[in-house]
Amino acid sequence: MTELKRWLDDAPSDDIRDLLAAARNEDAPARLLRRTLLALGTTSATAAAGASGASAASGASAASGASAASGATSVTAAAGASGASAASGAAKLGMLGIVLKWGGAGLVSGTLVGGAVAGVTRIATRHDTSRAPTHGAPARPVPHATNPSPELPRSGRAATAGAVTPANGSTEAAKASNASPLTGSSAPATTGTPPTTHSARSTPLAATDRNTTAAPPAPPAPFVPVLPPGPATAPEVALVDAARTTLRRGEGERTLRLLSDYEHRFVPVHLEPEVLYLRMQAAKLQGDRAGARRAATQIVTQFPQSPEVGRAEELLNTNGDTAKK
Amino acid sequence: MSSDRAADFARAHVEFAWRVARRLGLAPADAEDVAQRAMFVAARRIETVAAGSERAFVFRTVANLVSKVYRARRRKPEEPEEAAGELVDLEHDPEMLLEQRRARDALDAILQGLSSDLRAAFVLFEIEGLSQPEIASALGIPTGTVASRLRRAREEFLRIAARRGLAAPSTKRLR
Repeated sequence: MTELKRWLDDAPSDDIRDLLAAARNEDAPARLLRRTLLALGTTSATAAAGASGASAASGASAASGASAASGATSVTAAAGASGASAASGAAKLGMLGIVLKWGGAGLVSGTLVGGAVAGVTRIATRHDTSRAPTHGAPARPVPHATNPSPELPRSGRAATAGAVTPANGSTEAAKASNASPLTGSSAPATTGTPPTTHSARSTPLAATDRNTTAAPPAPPAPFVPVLPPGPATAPEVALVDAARTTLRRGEGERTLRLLSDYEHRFVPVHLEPEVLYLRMQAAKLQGDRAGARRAATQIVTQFPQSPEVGRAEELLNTNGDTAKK
Repeated sequence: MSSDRAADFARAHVEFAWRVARRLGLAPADAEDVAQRAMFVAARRIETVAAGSERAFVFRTVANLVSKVYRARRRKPEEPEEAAGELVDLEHDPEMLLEQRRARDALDAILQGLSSDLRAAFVLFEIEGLSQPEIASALGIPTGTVASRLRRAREEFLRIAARRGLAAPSTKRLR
């Protein structure tokens, strides 16, 4: 029997070949293989994850435990426990998926917190308390905050995000959680889009304050929005340009999706005033007056020096007048 | 089971599993979960997978997992999946990526118009490049049935594509 000729080689039309090629060339996320191999890898990796999670929890004055208690779930404890169970009895293949999933969470949280404890002295001497999270954040694309560890399944990633969140009362955490005003409107509160990375970095600072200097906890500092340092990278500019183009075409929904992609992809958000402005216009285009007002308010209150303020105030005044009438 | 063998299996087939899950209608993030679970299943049963039928095994596993996802959601596979959460690959031109996404969306919409039997045969042959005997093994049907399903899938595909203004139906290349 002769094999049919595939359409990819001999398509009835270019359109169809393009469709098939687009599907054939769709790349799985790079993290997929890493995450799968990590999970499949070995029980020793899981055991190490559990052990490092446990040691980090104790070495950092149970910072992770505190965060787990104040967070949505006690994920660090769960990760440590499952990591330990992996060390003792992970031979049960039927349980492999579950064990490795939570063990992976332990790996990440343990690595973050444990690494932070090891570097406490260096960080304490070099840290500029008002800007440390921003300095620490590289001006390069990083994954979405709900994805602090791309190797982990989504539930594990969420757990990790909770595990590395510093204890309540940390001024760094308070600043970080306010660092992107967009998260309040466009992302679930528990994910804390860009700040999660900052939170992870600020954990050792909280631990340092408690363990080495025993300083009384500072009162929460007032929120002062600070633009991240450094220029935007070319991919950032390209994506914002693409959003601007789609906005010009009148594709509001696609613009909003591109902006969301941008915000998920880049932390810190270098072009935030521009992004807010485009979001405001796209929301307006979509007839989402509340969304447009929200973006405009953020521009006016958080970036009063930006060139977009005039248009934002105009929109706010217009809507205000309309509301009064 | 050798963990090395399971790792090798995952390296060879996890992307295939992900793409199949995508073409069966899952969003990227859900496809990731399914692909990973498929590799767990493969790791457990790797001794039973005959040489040369790995992709057939992966397809069957993924198809089962996908149907479980839909059952769990109590949703029909025909409902379009929300692609939110898909990260943009910024190493390439955003416009080009948008075009590719548009093309995939159009393809998925056409595939959703096919019955699940035809869709499976079409995806495995036209997109994933499996041979007809491999498809027969994956779907548990005779090779002759694969050929007839492919022929019907192509006809149906062209009909739907033409309705969407994507291609003029042409019968000369159906066979």
